[in-house]
Amino acid sequence: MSEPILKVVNLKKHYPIRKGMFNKQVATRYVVDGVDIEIMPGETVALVGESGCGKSVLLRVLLGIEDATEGEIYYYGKNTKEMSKQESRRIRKKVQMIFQDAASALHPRFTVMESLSEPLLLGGMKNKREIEKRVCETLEKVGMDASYRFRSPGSLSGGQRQRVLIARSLVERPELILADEPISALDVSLQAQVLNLLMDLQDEYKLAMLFVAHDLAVVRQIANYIMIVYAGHILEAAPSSEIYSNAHHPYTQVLLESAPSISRGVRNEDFHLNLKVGDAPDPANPPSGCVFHTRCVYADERCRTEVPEKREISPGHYACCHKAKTAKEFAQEGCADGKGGCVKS
Amino acid sequence: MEQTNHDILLEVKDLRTYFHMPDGVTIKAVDGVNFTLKKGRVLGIIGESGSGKSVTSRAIMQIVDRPGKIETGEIYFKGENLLDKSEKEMASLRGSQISLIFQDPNTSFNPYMTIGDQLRQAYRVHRRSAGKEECEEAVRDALKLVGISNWEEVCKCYPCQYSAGFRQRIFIAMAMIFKPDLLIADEPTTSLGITIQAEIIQALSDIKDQVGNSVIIITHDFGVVAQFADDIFVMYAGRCVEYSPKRDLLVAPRHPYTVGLLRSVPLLEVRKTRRLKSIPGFPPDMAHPPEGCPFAVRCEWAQEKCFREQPELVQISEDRLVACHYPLMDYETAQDTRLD
Repeated sequence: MSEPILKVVNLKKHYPIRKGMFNKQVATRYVVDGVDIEIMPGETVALVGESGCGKSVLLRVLLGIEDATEGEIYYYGKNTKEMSKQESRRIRKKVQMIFQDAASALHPRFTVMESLSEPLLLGGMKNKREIEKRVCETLEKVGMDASYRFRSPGSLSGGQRQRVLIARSLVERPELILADEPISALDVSLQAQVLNLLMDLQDEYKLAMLFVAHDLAVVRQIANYIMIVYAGHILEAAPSSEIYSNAHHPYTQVLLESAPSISRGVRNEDFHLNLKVGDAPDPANPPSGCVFHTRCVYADERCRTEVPEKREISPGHYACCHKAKTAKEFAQEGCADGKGGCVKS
Repeated sequence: MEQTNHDILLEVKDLRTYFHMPDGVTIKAVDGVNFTLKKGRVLGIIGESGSGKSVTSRAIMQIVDRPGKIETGEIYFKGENLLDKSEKEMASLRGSQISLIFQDPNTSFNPYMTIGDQLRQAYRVHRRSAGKEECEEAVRDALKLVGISNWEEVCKCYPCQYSAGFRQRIFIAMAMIFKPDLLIADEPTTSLGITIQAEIIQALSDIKDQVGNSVIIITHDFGVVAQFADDIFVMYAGRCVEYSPKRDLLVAPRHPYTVGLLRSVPLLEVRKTRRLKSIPGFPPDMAHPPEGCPFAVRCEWAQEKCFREQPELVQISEDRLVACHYPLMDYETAQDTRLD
């Protein structure tokens, strides 16, 4: 078995909340709280979670924009903490990021050419002609005419800007791409274009990808392995076919139910959300026990007090839940409000 | 004839709203829209950004901002043409009979007023002489309608104390305080997370069951309309390209654009084709709309006639309308849109 490109062990990121004259730390925001990830070459792992669950912070920590509070990050088996400057620079060439908001991720005064050649210059490429050749090649790879290199981001449409952003992440020929909701800011028809583009590029360059999204429908086509994030914790992780057919965590089941479904509309099925009305917990004040218990309809005393351990359900399929069961089993048991329906608090 | 039909709440005929820009360019944001909405039904308007969905809703409320202007058209609400009404008469309709919910719950509230004060103020707009108790009662009813039971506590708080999803819920309560017959929801869930989105849709459909109002929901998300709407209206480049009951449209779309949209939606269900088929190209520039069918350049079925003549919206079966010279048949699209 080959070595994983990226391996993350028990990663935590906490932000202190400071107050008062002496900047005393009064509380802590537990934004990412114990995350394990492993990405093999050529594999796509998707992180799925709602806004505010800590997905973006996690990516920033992985890229080294922010330091982890606790936990290890290994690239190619090497711990980031023990890397020399040169090594980490070399790793950074191989790990690139696509940001969510293309409008703010591109420098407004730089032409496309300048934006795309910047990483190459930093990477030590000096020959101007070579740089230009590489930029043109990459632009064509993402489906844009090479003449776009003279344009500024302001004169491009949203979809084109997203393509430039993808081109920028590809220009150094990376092996791992961290994509932070690359399509959620786009229109439906463009979403499909960009998703297809990412899949094509992946086939061509054998890229590994960590794909962040907020719903399960988007990653169905692209991901091999899916991890469900909620309030900084991984609640369920499984190969993608397992997630869609055999989800064991109540939160995953809720996400599946609330994802856009055309066939449900066709069948005119009534739609019930099996979730207590409320919000995701405040990271400064996380609930005791299971993080999801405040909204879970199956929660009981044990969930309120005891933090659930990671349990293996089948090879590669893990869930953090005391009651992990498939939706069918939950319904059969008919336990506390488990018959469906929105429970109002 | 149709105006005497009591089932019809809203009828829009040939609505055109243009924006006359200072540099002399005219942007035809809405360019001939027709539809009818029956009482108690939910109409979903779907389209890409810039297709004129929001401008249509604003034109119905007559709150199109300058330099936008309603050029022609008739908007019959309960048999009366809204465009003939004076501003004073319109003002008395807004909020009491027709309400609008916006996309962004953050900017819809005054941050310096408590939620209770804002709801009471909304109530006093149309009931100026309302006493304190009458106000309280209306506010309580409205908040209960959206599933907020601890209304007394909520009223004392400021909008910033709640999350976006909860604020949107309160905003719906405010829009429903007079139990209007028509609620227009302009992308009510776009900025929200996915479970919160499902909660809001659930709240909207609960309200509809209790009050019996009609709803126009504007969105670019097929999942939302598939779950909530009765009829679907697809907009492209300021015009209606397809109007049909939900089920027929999802199962057997007739307009190439609808087909394109449907097959580019990422779905939970497995499709026969692994790749999504996207619509190539971009929507046209509405300052210079093309001569023929606005979708022709992106349409894989386009023929020579499509580039010359703009197709009219024609009836193709009892309750389906399509604006296409060559509407598609089931067997042409089945492979791409049918699910496993």
